[in-house]
Amino acid sequence: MRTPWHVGNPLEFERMLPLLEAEFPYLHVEVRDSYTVVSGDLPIVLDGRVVDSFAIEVMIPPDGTRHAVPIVREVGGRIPWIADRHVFSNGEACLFIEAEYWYKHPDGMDLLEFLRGPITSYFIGQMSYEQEKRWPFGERSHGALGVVEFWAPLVGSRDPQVIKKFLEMVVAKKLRSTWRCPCGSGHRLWGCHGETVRKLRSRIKRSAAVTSLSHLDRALRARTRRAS
Amino acid sequence: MTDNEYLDAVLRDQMLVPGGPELTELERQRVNVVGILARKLPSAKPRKGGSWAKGTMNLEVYDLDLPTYFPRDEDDAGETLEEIYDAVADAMSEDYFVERRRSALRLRDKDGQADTHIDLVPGRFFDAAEGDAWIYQNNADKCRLKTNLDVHIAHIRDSGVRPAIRLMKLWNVRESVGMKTFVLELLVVDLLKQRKSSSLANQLRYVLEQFRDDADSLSVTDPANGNNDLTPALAHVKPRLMLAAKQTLAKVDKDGWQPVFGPVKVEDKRATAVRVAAAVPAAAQYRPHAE
Repeated sequence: MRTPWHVGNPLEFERMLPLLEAEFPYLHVEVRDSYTVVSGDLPIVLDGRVVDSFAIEVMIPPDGTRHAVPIVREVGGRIPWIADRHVFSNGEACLFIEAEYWYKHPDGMDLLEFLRGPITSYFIGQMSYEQEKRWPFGERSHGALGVVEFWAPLVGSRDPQVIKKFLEMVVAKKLRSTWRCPCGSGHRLWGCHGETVRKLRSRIKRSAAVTSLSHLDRALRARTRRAS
Repeated sequence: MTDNEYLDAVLRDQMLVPGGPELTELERQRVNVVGILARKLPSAKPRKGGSWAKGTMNLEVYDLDLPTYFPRDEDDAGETLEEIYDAVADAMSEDYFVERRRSALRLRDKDGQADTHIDLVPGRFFDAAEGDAWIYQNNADKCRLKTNLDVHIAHIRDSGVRPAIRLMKLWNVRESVGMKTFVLELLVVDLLKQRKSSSLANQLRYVLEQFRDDADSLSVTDPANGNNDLTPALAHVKPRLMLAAKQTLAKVDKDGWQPVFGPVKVEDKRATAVRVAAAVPAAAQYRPHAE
């Protein structure tokens, strides 16, 4: 079993805990297996007043929020565990496409930033969905289509095969100068989209790109099976 | 609005707001107090306890318990519990008016008027594990009491009935029942341990029915100290407890919960959702996904 984040990083934890307690007095910290768990009531505030709250639990992985994405759940039974509410069948909230998160925040976030940002955004979205059946900040399409939506503008193509080739380079251990560009131009990578690939590799965690790639892979294989 | 929607709204109205004046001031005072302790009694280990740590704070009546325990082998605050209690009171007295309670030291501003909402609870840990501790009891039969902060906090915080606890605390204040908060919390947890999945309204009703009909059978034991029978603490409030429960249930039967907890801010949920979303800056907006 790995060491929980707050045990492995006592200084960061000691710095964070009073800030967390002061800003979110209805959230508290406990330990579950190798996870540091923050749970309790997350308030939604408007004009200096709590207008809603969600019972949540946030499981911080051993690597901490700077290096990994916490697992978030609504535990009050208010949000159904269905894809249309962006909840996995095991109750985990799907806050975003992980690669998109790392692209936006390559250095990650500390716990407070993560609570104020992605988590609060997600639950404000749930509030809106309950009232209007729409996501105020938009949503990514389910499955591989959502992955394509995110990657397409970055690589300049909506073709899943092209995106897949880019992703294979993003996840590769090393880039080779002899490789042909994944865009299909026939040029060498460094004379074509080399800078794009380098930027993606520097911003997006490899594990998140691997997840995107496996989404696409599954979808493409399913398409091939259907076609045959 | 259903009973449960109404009670949820009461709980929301009673939340201390992140960044709000109450929390900001409480945190400012806490930092000041911790700083004084670090300067004058450096081996003190103050930490947040009470309703803040348990997640049961209400805006109407709130305070911050700061259990301030000393390591077993440190004597910079004194050797006996009484000396520790006095040393912590003395350390604070330059900056605050200190009101000596049974185990706690309530801090007021220097002229004794404004309440800082901070209670220091001096004590000493049993051992190096720093779990169990002794706290001093001023003017009591026993001058010391065994306790364990982590056990107390976990017992309430993880009870699964925190919303009911917060509402019963509010009821206790509004109806001037006068039951000690710690005792009330334990009672609610005990009474509802088989009813965690009931609706909030049904939970409250059940607790109040027990108070009205079966107050003589109520017993409370400190979860951190089996020898600390808290049942006697109920004796002097029992008549008021029974009467208030009876009156409350009569009100609820006649007119619902609103006469008990008062009006709540009713808002157009749809308009609120729109306004909340509109207030989120673009950089803090994220698009959810699903497989």
